[in-house]
Amino acid sequence: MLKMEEVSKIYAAGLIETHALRNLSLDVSDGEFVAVTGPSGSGKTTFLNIAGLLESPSKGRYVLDGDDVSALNDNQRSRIRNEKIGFIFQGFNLIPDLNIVDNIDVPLRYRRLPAAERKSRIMAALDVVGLTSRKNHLPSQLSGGQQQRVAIARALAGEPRLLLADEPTGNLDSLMARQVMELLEGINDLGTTIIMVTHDPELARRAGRNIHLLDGQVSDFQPLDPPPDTGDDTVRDVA
Amino acid sequence: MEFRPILSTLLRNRTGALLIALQIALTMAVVINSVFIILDRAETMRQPLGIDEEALIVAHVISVGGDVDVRSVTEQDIRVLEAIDGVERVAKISTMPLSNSGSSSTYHLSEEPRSPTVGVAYYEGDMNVLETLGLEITRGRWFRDEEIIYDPDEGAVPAVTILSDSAAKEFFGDEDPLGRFIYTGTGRGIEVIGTMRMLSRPWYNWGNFYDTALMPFVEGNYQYVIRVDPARREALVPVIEQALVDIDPDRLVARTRTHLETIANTYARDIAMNRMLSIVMLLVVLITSLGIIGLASFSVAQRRRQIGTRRAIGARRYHILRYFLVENWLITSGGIALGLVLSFVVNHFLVSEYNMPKLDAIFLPLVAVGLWFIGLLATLGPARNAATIDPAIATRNV
Amino acid sequence: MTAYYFRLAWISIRRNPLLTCLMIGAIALGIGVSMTTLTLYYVMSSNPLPAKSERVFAVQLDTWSPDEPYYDRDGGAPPPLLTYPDAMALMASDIPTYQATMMHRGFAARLDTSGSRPERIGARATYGDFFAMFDVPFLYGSGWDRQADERADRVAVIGRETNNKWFGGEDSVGRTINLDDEVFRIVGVIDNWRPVPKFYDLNNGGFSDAEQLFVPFQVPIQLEYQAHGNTNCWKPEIIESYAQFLQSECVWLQHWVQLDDAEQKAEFQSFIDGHALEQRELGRFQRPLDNRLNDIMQWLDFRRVVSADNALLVVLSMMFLVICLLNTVGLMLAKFINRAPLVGVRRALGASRRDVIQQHAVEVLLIGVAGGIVGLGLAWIGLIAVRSWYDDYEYLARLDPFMVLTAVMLAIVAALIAGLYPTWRISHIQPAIHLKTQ
Repeated sequence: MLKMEEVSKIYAAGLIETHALRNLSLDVSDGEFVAVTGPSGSGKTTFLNIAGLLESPSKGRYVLDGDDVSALNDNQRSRIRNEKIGFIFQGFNLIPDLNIVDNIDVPLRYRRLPAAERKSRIMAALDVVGLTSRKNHLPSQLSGGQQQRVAIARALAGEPRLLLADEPTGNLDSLMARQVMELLEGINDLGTTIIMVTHDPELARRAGRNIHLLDGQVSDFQPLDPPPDTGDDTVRDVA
Repeated sequence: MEFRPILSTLLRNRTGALLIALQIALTMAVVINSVFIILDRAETMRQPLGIDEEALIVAHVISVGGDVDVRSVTEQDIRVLEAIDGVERVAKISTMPLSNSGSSSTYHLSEEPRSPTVGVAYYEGDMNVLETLGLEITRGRWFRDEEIIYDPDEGAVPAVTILSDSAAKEFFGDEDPLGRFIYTGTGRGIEVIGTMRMLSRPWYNWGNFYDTALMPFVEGNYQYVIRVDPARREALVPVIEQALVDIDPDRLVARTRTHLETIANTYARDIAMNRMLSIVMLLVVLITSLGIIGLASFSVAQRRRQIGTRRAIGARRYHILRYFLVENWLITSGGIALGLVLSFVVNHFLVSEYNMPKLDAIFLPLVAVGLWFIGLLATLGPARNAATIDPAIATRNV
Repeated sequence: MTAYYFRLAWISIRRNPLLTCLMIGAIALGIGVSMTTLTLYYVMSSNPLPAKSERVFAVQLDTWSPDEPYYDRDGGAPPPLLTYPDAMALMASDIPTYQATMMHRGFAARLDTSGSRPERIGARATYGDFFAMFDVPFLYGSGWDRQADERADRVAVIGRETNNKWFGGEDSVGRTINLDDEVFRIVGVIDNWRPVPKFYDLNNGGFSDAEQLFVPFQVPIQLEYQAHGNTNCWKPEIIESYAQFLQSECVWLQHWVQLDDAEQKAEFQSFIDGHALEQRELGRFQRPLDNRLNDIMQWLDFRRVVSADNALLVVLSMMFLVICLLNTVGLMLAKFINRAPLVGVRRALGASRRDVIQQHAVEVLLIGVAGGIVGLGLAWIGLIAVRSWYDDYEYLARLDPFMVLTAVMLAIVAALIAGLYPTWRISHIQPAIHLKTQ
């Protein structure tokens, strides 16, 4: 499904170069559920951004679903994101002015699907996450857990081959977190590949495989007690 | 002060600052050039005419067909008008200052056709002109009754004239003009018997505004100028018109109006121009202020977290307020510096293309200070908002 | 997809009504002010006789003083008016298709001498060709013929308004009126005719209304009248009678000719030059030969009908428009950048740059259209104000469909220019940066 070879990512800010990923090589098979863990600044988010084609690697090769995607242009990457990848974020990232249906509709619109098909996919996705009765609510009218389920429905509606989740339960209490996790497991059972970044060892243990990152590389040993993570490990750029 | 960090922040967020600075520069160019034109016109319109214009009404009376005795008709009309309550004095005159219609001629200093000439606008009128207009004789004397010629022959030249001080100076410099002569192009002399302090021309845009002369001629179609109690000016206009109609309904009585109305008509274009420029100027300042408020608010909103952090590590409200005011002051100053150059470029263009007056440097500091003030005022609101940001925002996670 | 973008734009506009109003307001003010001054300029510089403006010419003869030119500018130009002898010499030519010399003069007019009071009415004294040359539309009757011109017949053509006032709008051809105590027979009533600018006589204000009364040119000459307008003399001459005035070097008459092709024009040019050379033998025309035929637009340009003030207002209002645009750029940038996280989400979900650009362009377009419509309203109000400030701008300062279209197009173009940079910026954000929560 996903294959990275010697992938590096270097951020240059002025004279300082930050190596967010160093010669990372990785293989994820179809249908796997992989948890990526690591301390703050270990390159987890950079890895996810590259995996999700939000950023391009500085060096190395990235093969997604059999295609080399390391050197695609912006337009082609947008298209692959739209058709093959689903995103779930820690902060949900729903669009506050759109109701639930319209939020789930966003990726389908960009795929230029006919109205009838969009509608049936939205209803199916809502059914999976159990929010059919709330379809006309605005995100602000839902609880955090419900919002994350909408985000999952949005990712599912596109029928992605790969689901990328970045701390999907980071902003949720433990009950809601468990519901979301069960939902992801269910989706994985149906065949969707899932890569989840998390710092929660409990969640990581529920995944089929754990990859631990340290200083932008896959670390061979598993720390017994990972340090607390602030969840903020990107090199930020000021817009 | 914290100039350097503010400046470096500004340089990293160039676009917003640049937009504001450009707006201020353009605003400055528009405002400076508009103010300058407005003041220039206002000054023109404030020039004194040398007459008591606020006490004057002018009426046009034209006899239709047939020969009339101009003197007796004029004297009868004046008698009737002066009997009206509120009317003080009535004169017959060829035209009026700033009425936009009249005659001018060039007169020579000697009989020799090649001798130097001076152009003057001349008025012809009767004995009553002095008191009615409120002229002031500075040298020599006023006309004598027998010098006034009613219904002169075509092409006749008067024997005597009274020059304005300004015209007398043009003709004779500092020499005594009394008893001297000025000559028509065909070599006929007119004796200067007196000078008057000031009388302006019928038009204002051809220069030499005060070079005028009075001639003792009265023609039948000349207008009546009526000196009235200024407090009853408007009310007397229809009374005077009716009185003139009643004397002889077969005459044409037209355009009876206060002289102030005539003057306003003459200046209508300049008044309208000044109004339009004032409105444009006001709107420019308004739009730019709103722009500053908008972008300052945006910059505060974008930096809420950063401001919270500053507050959390000990910055007082006053420091935050100062930060934004200084930041805006820097942007405004950049805009003003650019605006100075732009103002001159625009003015240079206006001078060469449209004959506008050249910019006076004295306005620049005034307008610059005004823009600084407006900039600070516009930033004050958003800056105060910034100062009230809760320090706790720094540690809050969404 | 376009409908989807319109919906998104509408949602965005509703989310930030104040900011949207500010942007629309800034564009509207810019458009309102610039369209007010542009309309004035446009109408002032419009063509008053488009059908034949290139075939009708104002004649200039350089009869002025040998010592100095009449106009200083451009190395000297001949006076805008003719002397009586020259005008009569031109009238004797049969080269032009039509030609007319003319002047403005006031008359004391009334219907008859029993009872009604005279009122002042401005008249144009001219030749019968005037009406055909300037395509003057007649409601009743027609102009007068050459014989009436020669005999100075007491005939008159009146305007529709005067006909309404005196004759209640009836066909008044054959009726009489009393002008300066003489009886004139009405031969024609002209329909609404309002050339803007009043090109044929710019002396009494370039934008005053056309006269409501026309009489043969020789009538005021017989009555020994001077013109109400400019009379300019340079030569010291003894003028003690009207006959001497007529023969003097004073210029005071407008003269227009219709020349239908280049050949006819060349022929007439050589005729007037020949006249000048002939007169030079007699001691006149002492300046270098400079006799001009100006077609209508050349004439309006030469006489500077569009004042420097109007051009200056256009320049300043264009600067104002630029300020408004910079303002709008700033506000749009603020609004769009504020929305970067949402655009980041859309980009992550598969929106291409083009999708983002289209979405924002539609929003910019909506703001532009709204700004244009509001700006049009402001220009309308501005022109009402302008009309009230200038008494002779009554028919001048009005919006026509062309200017309405110009205003809306200008607003849309202005908004698109203002939206260009903000849209480019928002479409080039790094989506990854905006996806992480703060």
